[in-house]
Amino acid sequence: MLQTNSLKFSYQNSQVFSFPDICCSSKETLLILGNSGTGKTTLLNLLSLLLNPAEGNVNINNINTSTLNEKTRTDFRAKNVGIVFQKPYFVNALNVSENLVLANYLGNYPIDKQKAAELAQNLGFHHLLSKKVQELSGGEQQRVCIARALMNSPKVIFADEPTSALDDENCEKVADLLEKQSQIIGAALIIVTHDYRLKTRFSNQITL
Amino acid sequence: MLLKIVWKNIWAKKLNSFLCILLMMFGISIISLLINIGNQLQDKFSKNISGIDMVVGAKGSPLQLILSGVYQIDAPTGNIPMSELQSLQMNPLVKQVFPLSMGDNYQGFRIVGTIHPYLKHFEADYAEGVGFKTNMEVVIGSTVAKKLKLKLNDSFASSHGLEKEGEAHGDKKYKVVGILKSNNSVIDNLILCNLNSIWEIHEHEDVEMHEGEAHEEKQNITCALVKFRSPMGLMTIPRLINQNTQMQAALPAIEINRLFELMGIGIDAFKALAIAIMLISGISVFVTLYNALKERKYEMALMLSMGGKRLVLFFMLMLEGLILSISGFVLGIILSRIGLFLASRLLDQNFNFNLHLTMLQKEEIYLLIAALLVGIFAALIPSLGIYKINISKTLAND
Repeated sequence: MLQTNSLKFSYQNSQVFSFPDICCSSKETLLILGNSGTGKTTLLNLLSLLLNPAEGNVNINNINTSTLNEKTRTDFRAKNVGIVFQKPYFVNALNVSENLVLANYLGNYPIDKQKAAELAQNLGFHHLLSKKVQELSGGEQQRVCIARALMNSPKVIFADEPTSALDDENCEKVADLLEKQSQIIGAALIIVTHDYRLKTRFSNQITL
Repeated sequence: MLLKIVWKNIWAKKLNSFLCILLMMFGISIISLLINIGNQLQDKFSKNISGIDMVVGAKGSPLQLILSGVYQIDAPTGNIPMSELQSLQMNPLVKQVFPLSMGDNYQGFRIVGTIHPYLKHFEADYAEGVGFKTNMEVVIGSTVAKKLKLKLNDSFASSHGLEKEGEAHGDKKYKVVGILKSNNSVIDNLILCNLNSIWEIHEHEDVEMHEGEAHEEKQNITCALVKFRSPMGLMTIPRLINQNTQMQAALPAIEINRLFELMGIGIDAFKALAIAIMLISGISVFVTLYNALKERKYEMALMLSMGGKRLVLFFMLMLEGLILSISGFVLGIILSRIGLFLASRLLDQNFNFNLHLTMLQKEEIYLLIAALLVGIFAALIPSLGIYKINISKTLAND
């Protein structure tokens, strides 16, 4: 589902990151480990098509994404990539349910409120759907973010430090949810983390 | 969905949005009110002036003479003897002279003694009845008929003076013989009769008060409206009158221009104030959106990462600015109509002068364009910020 070939990237004139080749097929989970400053987030941005690599390419769903232009890449990302950011970002003026279907709208899919309700049920925040996002706790916000990443049934799900702010119990829960949900929709799951609690859980690992 | 986001964002910042709309509303309503009142006053003033080249009356303020004689809104300057007019009527440069005699009212509407050509001059048309023929017969304007609910053959007693509360002339009653169609000129608000009726009523009093005075002296009129045959009259006659007689001659065109010039200063000051308010509204929209973009930088980057197009988000922010300024405009126009209605009632009470609640004026379309421009420019710079957002950097920043 996801393969990379000799990815390289550099921020203006500073050190050059070169990343090992990565491969992850659907329903599989890959853990990308590494200490701060080793370019974990940079790699995630490259993989999720938010940054363009200086060299090499990223193939998602057997499509070489470096052949796509700016506009089609945006569409491609919306349809094939789900991202759970390190921080729970939302459109604050909208409520939980609206934040979920926003993914449909921006990905040019029909608005699917039912799917939002289903995911909320599965992730255990069904009772929060009409609440404002600011009123949710950190753990709840994290789950809403995961649900949002699943809304368009993407081919690959990226999670950037999804558990760093959570306690052991919630960490376990979130890891379970991510794994289970990506398997339900048949997506590859890629988790970037330095959280050693996850290390013992997923065997498929790459260390930067 | 997009409109929903726009609406929710506006709603999430209720106070800021309210301030923007409020400022825009006041700016627009002041300008619109000025435009409407200015237009209607000018319209009414120029309609009533049409054809009248000169007004002669007792010495005093020329503007007052014009306002009382032509527009029937100010107090008259005094009386002049009818005989003084005779030489004027003989002058070959003079086409027509309409003597007017006033001093009485009925329920605040002026009773004006005059001659039939005065009605013809305003192209008066009868809705009912006929013109006055004998003494104590009156023709009433449409507003008078409507307000006082007077019908044909009704009779009433006039009271002295131009205000409602005057001493009543109880013993002689006027009889309505004609009702005019509304023609949006000064005669809508007048009760018209022949000159003799006025004289007859006051003769009675005069005899009581100053018994034995000479008979001719009571044939006074208040003023006379004059039409010239040629512009030559305009050049020579006013000076002749002002130098050689007890009367004064005033030229409506000049006096009204002077009046508008005086009012114009006030109107210009108000307009400047209103434009300043509109600009402040624009700045307030700018600050609101600019802060919003700073606060919502993460939201914007998030939406971009989720497949949002920069152009769409750009229009989303522009729309916020435009909705604020357009709703300010709409509310401003509504407020100006309410203001117009109140002003109209006030003027109606004091001067029997109506303002019309008009549809959108041509100038107000320009105002809409101005409001849109303010909205666009205020929203443009913050909205362009969308193009500067670096998605990965913004979202990765802790």
